[in-house]
Amino acid sequence: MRIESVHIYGFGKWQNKQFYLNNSSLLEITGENEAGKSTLRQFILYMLFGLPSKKLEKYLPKQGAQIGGRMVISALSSKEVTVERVQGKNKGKAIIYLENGKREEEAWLLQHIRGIDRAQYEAIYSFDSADLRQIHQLNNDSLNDVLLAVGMTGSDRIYYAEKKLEKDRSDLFKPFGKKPAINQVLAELSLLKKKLSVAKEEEATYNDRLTKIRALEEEIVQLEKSIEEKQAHQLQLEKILSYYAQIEEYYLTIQRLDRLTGLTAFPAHGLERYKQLKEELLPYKSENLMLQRNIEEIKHKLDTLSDTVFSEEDIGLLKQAMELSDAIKQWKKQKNEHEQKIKNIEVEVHTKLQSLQITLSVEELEALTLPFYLEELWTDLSKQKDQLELENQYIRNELQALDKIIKELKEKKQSCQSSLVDAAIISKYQQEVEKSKLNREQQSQIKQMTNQQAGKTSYLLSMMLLIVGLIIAIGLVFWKNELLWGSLLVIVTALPFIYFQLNRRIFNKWMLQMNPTETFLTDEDLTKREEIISEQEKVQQLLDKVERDLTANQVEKLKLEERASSIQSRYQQLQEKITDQIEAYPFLENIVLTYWPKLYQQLMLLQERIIERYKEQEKNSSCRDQLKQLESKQAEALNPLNIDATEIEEKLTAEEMKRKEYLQLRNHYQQLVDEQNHCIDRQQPYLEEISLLFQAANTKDEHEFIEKGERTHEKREIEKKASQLFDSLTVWMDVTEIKKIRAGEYDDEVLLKKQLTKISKEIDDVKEKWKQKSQQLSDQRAALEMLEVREEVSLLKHQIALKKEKLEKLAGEWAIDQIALERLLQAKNRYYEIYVPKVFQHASNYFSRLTLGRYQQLVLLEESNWIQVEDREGFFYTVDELSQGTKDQLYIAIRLALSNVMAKDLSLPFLIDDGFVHFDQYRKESILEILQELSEDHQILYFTTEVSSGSMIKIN
Amino acid sequence: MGKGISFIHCADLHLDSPFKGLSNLPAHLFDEVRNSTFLALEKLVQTAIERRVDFVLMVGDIFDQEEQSMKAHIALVRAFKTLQNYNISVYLSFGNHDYINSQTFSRNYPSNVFVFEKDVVEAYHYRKDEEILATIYGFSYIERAVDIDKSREFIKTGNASYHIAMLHGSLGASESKDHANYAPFQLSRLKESGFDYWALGHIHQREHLSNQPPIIYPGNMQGRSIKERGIKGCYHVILTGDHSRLEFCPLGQIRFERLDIDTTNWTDIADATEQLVTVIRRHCNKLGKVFLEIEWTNTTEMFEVWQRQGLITDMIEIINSTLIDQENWVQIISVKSKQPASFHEWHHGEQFLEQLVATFEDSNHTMTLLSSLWQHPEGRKWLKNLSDQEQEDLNKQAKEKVYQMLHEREV
Repeated sequence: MRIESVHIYGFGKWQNKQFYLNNSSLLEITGENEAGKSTLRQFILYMLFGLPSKKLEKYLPKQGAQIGGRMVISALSSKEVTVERVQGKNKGKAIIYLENGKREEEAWLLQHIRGIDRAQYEAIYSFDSADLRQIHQLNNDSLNDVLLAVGMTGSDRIYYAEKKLEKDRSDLFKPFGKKPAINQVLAELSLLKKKLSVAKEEEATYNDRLTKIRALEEEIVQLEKSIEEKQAHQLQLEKILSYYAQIEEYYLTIQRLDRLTGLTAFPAHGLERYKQLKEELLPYKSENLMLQRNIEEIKHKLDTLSDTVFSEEDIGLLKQAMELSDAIKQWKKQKNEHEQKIKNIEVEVHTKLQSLQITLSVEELEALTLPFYLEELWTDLSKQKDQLELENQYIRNELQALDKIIKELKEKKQSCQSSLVDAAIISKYQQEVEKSKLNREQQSQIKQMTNQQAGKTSYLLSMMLLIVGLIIAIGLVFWKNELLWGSLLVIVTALPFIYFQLNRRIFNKWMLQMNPTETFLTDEDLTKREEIISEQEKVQQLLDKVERDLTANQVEKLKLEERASSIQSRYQQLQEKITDQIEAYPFLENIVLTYWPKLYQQLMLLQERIIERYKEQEKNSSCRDQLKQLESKQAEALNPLNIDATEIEEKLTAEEMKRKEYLQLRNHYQQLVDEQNHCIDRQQPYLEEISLLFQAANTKDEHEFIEKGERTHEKREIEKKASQLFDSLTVWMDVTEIKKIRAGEYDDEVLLKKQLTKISKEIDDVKEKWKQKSQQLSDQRAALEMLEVREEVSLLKHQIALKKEKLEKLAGEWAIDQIALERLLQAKNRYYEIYVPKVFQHASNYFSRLTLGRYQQLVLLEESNWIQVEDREGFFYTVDELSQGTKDQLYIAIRLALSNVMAKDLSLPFLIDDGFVHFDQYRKESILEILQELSEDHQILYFTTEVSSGSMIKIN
Repeated sequence: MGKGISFIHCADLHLDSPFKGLSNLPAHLFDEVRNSTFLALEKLVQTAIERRVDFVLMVGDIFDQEEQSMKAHIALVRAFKTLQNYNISVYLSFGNHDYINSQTFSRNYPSNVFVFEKDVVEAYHYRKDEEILATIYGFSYIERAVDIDKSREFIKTGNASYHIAMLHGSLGASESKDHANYAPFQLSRLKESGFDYWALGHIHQREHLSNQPPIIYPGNMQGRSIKERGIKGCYHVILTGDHSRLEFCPLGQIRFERLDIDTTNWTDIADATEQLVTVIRRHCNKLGKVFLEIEWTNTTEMFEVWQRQGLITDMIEIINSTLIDQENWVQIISVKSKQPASFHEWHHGEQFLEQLVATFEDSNHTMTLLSSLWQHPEGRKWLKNLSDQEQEDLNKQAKEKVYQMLHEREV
C-alpha cells in the first residue's frame, strides 16, 4: 500500500491542508518542532484506523472545522482508492471510494490491509524514539512475538488462543497436578479402585466365612457333647455322694440283719392280730363289767323298793276314790253354776225393774198375771189413739180450708152477677145474628149449585159415556150373546147420567124454595154483636160455675163437720178403755200409752226370768243331793287307807309311780342279766383266737407273746429297710456294685469329694472353651450377615463406571485442547524455524551496515534463547552488553528486517518518527541507505527535523 | 393332546451392570440406575408369580462380569427363594460374562433351581402331577469363550410332551461389534432339530429368528446404554401341543431413547428451550424413565454460535434440571450433530495459518501428542487407546477450535 496524497479537512493544527506524498518511495517530511509532523502522522493513522472520540478530542481544531480528511491510496487494489473519514459522518467510519465511484465501507479497507489493527501496524511499521527503549528486553521470545505479530494478523489472537488452550488444558489435566479435573477424577478412581478391591476381598471371604462357620458349629457341637458327658459324670458322683449316707446305712443294716438270725416262727402279723383281738375284746369286757355293776345296783334298789310299794288292791281303792272325787268335783261345779245363775237372774230382774221406773216390786211382778192378749190390746189402744188424733187434726185443717174457699166463691159470685146484661137484649142480638148467617149460607149455596150446573161438560161426558156404553152393550148382546154383561154395562154407564139428571132436578127444586130475606146486617155490626153475645155467654157461664162450686164446697163442709163429731165420740170411748186398764194395772198410771206394749214385753221377759230362777233352784237342790251321796262313798273308800280326800290324787300318782318304778326295775334287772350272758358268749371266739395265737407263737402268755412278736417285728423292719435301701440304690446303681457294698467294698466319702471337685473343674474349662467358640461363631455370623447386605462392591462398581465415563469425557476435551495447543505450538515453531533465520539474516545485514561493520551478525544462543551479536573479532555480546546506541541500532535492524521479511505479501508504509535521533552522522547515513533499500518495497515516510538531501516535504 | 406348559424365557440379566454413557448423575438417579437391573429381576419374579408359570428359563449372562458383587448374588438367591414359595422352578445356564470359573460365590441356590453345571449339553425333567411334562436341555460356559457349534449336542431324549433347548450364543454368520461371536449355530439346524422351543441368549436385542418352531432371543431385561434402546423385558411362553403363544412382558424401568431435533427454526434460546422441553415430554410421555440422546439436524449458523458460546450446554442442563423432578424423569445424556460442524476454510497467504494448516494435516502422531495423559501412570489404567476414527474426530475438533479462537470477532 502506498499513500499518494493526504487532504486534511481539519486535524490538530492542520486545516484544509493537502500533502502529496507520492514523489518518492522514501519521503522525508521535515519541519521544526511543533511544526505538526507528528500530527500528520497521527492523521494518517487516524485515516487508516480511526480513533475513539476521547482521543480524537485532542486533535479537535481550535478554529472550528470538523475533524476529518481524505487520503488517496494506491497498491491496495487494482486502482487507486480514496479513503475519507470525517468525524460525525458515517459514525466516524471511513468511506472508501473506489475508482469506479463505488463506495465501500471500512471493512473493505481492513480486509485489504489483512485485518491488521492499529496497534500491530504501529508495532511493525511505525516507530519512534520511545520504541527504542524496549530494546533491553530483546530476547528470542519477544522477537518471536514480534515476528509472529508480523506474520499473523491478529497475533494476539494466537497469544490469546495459546494462553486459553494452555489454561484449559491445565484446568483439565496436569501430569503432576492435583487440582485439575482429570487429576481429581484419576485420584478418585484410584481411591475407588482401592476400595473396590478391599470390598471384593471382603466379599471373597464370604465362602471362607461360610466354611469357618460350619467348622465352628461342629466344634461347638462337640464341646457341648463333652460338657454333657462330664456333667452326667458329675451328677453321678454327686448322687453317690448324696446317697453316701444311704450306702453306709445299707451296709450297716445288712450287718444288723445278719445278727438277728435264728428267730423261730411267729404268726404273721401276730402282734397286730393279738392287739386287734384284744382291742375287739376290750369293749366286751368292759361291757361285761358295766353290766355286772348295773345288775348289782338294780338288785339293791329292788330290794329297798319292795318294802314300800303298795299292793294292787290298795291302788284299786285309791283309784276308785279318785274317780269319785272327780265326780264330786263335777257336781260341785254344777252346783256352783246353778247358784250363780240364780243370783244373776235375781240381780238382772231387780235392776231391770228398777230401770223401768214403774211402781212395781219384784214380788208383785211375780204375782202378776199378764194374759197374752194384753199386749195386743194395749197396742191397739195406742194405735187408735194415734189414729184419732190424726184424723182430728186433718178434719180441722180441711175445715179451715173450705171456709176460705167458700168465702172466695161468694165474692166471685157477687161480681159476676153485677156484670151481667139484660137477657132480652141478648136474645135480640142473637136472632139478628142468626138471620144474617142464614143469608150468607144461602148465598153460598146458590153459588155452589150454579157452579155445579156449570159443569155442563161433565154432564155431556156422562151422556156420551152412556151412549158408548149402550153401543158396546148392544154389541155384546148381539155378537157375543152376553146379555148379562150388556145390561150390566148399560146400567153402569147410565149411572152418572142419572146422577146428573137428579142433581139438576133437586137444584131446580131448591131454587124454588129459596126466598132471600131482606134484612141484612153489616159485617161490622155483625161482628160486634157476636162479640157481645159471646161475652155474655161467658159471664153467664162463669156465674154458673161459681154457684156450682159454692154449693159443692158447702156440702163438703157439712160432711166434714159430721166426721169431726164422730171422732170425738170415738175418742171418748177410747179414753174409757184406757182408764180400765189403769185400774187393772195400777203401775200403768204414769206411763204413756204408746209405751204400754213395750212395757208388756219387758214384764213378760222378766217373768220368764223369774221362772227360770225357779228351775235353777230345783236343779240346784238335786245337785246337792247327788253331791252328798258321792262324798259319803268316797269317805268310805278312803278310810282304810288313812288318806285324806284331798291327798288322793297325790297319793295315787305317787303310788302309781312307785309301782311302775318297781316293775321297771325288775324288768331292767332281767334285761341286764340277759345281756351279760350274751356278752360272755360273744367274748368266746376272741378268747379262742387268742389262745390259738399263743399256740402258734409257742408262747404261754401275753408277755412272752409280745416279746417274741416285737423281736420278730424288729427283724422284719430291718429286712424291709435293707430291701428299701437296696431298691433305692438300684435306681442309680447296678446290682454288682450293690453286692460290693454288702461286702463292704465302696469308695469312701473323701475320695468321692476329690473326684467331684476334679470333674467340676474340667466342666468349667470346657464351658469356657465353648463360650469362646460361641462368641467366635456369632462374630462370624454377624460378619456374614453384614456381608450379605453389603452393597459396597456394587456401589463402587457403579461409581467407578460413572467416573470412568466422566474421565473419558474430560479426556476427550483435554485431548482436543492438547492437540490444538500442540499443533499451534508446532505451527509456531515451524513458522519460526522458517522465518527467524531469514529475519536474522536480514537483521545481521542491516546491523552490520548500521554498525559500519563493527558487528557482523546476530546469533541466537539456543541454550539461553538470548540474542547475541558477534563482532568482527568473533566475540559475542549479549544485548545488555551493548551500548545504548548500538542497542538502538540493533532494534532498528531487527525491526526493519522483520518488516522486510514479512512484507512480501503486504507492504504498508512505514512511518518513522525521528527515530534515529541518537544516531551520529555516519550511522544516520547508513540508516538512510537501508531505508532507501527498504523503500523499494515499502513506502517510507520519514518525519524528521533535519534536512537532508533526499526528497522531502517541508512543513512549516 | 397333552397339557400345556407356561414359562418365562429371559436372558442376559447382567445383574448389577453399570450403565454406559452416563457421566454425572444426581444421587437419586445414581441409585435408580444402580438398582435398575435388580428391579427388573424383581419384576421378573412378580410376573412369573402373577402368570403362574411352571418354570423360568434364564439363558446366560445372569451376572455382569467376573467377580460378581455380593449384592447380585444375594438378590438372585432371594429371587429364587421367592419363586420357590410359589413352586416355580428355575433352569439356569451361564454365559460368556458369568462363566462358571469366574464365579466368586458358591451357588447354594434353593432346591427349585436347576443349574447346568457342565459345558456339555444336559437335560432336566420338569415334573407336574407325577408326569414328566417337559425336558429342558442346556449347557453353561466354563471359560469365557465357547467357539464350537453347540447346537449339534442338543438331542431329544425321553418322551416328555415338550422339549425345550437353552442356548447362549449367536448366529454363525453374525459379525456384530457389540457381541462377540460365541457358540455359533446355524438357524437351519435349529429348525430341523425337532425341539419345541429354542430359548436363546447373548444378543441383547430381542428378536424372533423363527416362529415355527419358536427360536427366540428375548433380549436383555434392562437397557444399559444408548445402543440398547427401547423397551426391554422377557417373554411369557405358553406351549400347548403344536401351538405356541408368546407374550412380551416389559421389565426394564429405565429406557434409552433417541430423538432427532430440527434446529432450523430456532431463533431465541429461551423459546428453543421451552419448545424442546415440550417435544421431549411428548415423545417420552408413556415411556417411563428415559435417558435420551438428542441428535441435532439442520443446524443453523446461529445454532453453532450458541454451541460455541456454551449456550447449548446450558440449555441441556436447564432441560435436565426441569425434567428430573418427576417420577418418570427424562435426562439428556448426550447430544450429537448429524452434520459435521462447518469447518472453515482457512485463509491462504497468512504465513502462520499456513503453517498451522500444515501441522494439522499431519495427524498421524495424535497419540504421541496425547501421551502425557494416555501414558500417565494413572491415566493409562483407565483410558483405552483411541481408534483411528476417534483420533481423526479429535483432530478435526481441535482444528476447528483453534480456528474459532484465532478468528473470533469480538462482539
